[in-house]
Amino acid sequence: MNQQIIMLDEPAEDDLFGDTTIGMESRRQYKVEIPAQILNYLGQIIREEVRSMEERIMQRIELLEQRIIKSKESDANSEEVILLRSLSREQAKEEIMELLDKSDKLYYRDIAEALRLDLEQVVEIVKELEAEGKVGEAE
Amino acid sequence: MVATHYDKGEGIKGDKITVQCRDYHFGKPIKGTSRDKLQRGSLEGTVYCVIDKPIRSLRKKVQHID
Repeated sequence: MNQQIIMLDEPAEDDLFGDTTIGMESRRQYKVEIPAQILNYLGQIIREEVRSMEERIMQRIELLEQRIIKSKESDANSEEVILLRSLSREQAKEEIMELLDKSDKLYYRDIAEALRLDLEQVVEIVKELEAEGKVGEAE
Repeated sequence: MVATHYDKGEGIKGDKITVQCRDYHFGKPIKGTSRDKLQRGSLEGTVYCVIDKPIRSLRKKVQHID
């Protein structure tokens, strides 16, 4: 027979082993006899449970690592930078006109993105083209 | 001439506003009185906004007939 110290809610008075403090809580300890077979069995259950917990934690870590990698990849893709071109006003005007000739209708944003031009420059040039009667607002 | 407003406190309203700026911050969606959700945010650093519109060429397209 193995003897272990464990805590019980309602032990017999003569089994009192001593007092102990866990955190802020003071508990009394009592002597209890536990058969070796049961102790071995409990040990086995605890080892299996710990192994299972380790596996679950490792799986969770792997999953989180994959998510971090995916998140970094998507951030890298979304941070693609478009370099604006520096064109003379006449050159930009000509390219905008050519682009509009090829399309049904385009927004300022579409033109700025397609030709990699500054938005304000596009707006000013389109206003000029409107004044010259070369372009107009589409339906 | 393009009318551009620089004064603080002035509003700009439209169905489609295209912007160019250095940075932007948007918060959580807001449930307004209409069925559509709204979002509130701010644009910062050399901000340029324009009420966007569809534009088309008025130049006559030349058709080649063989």
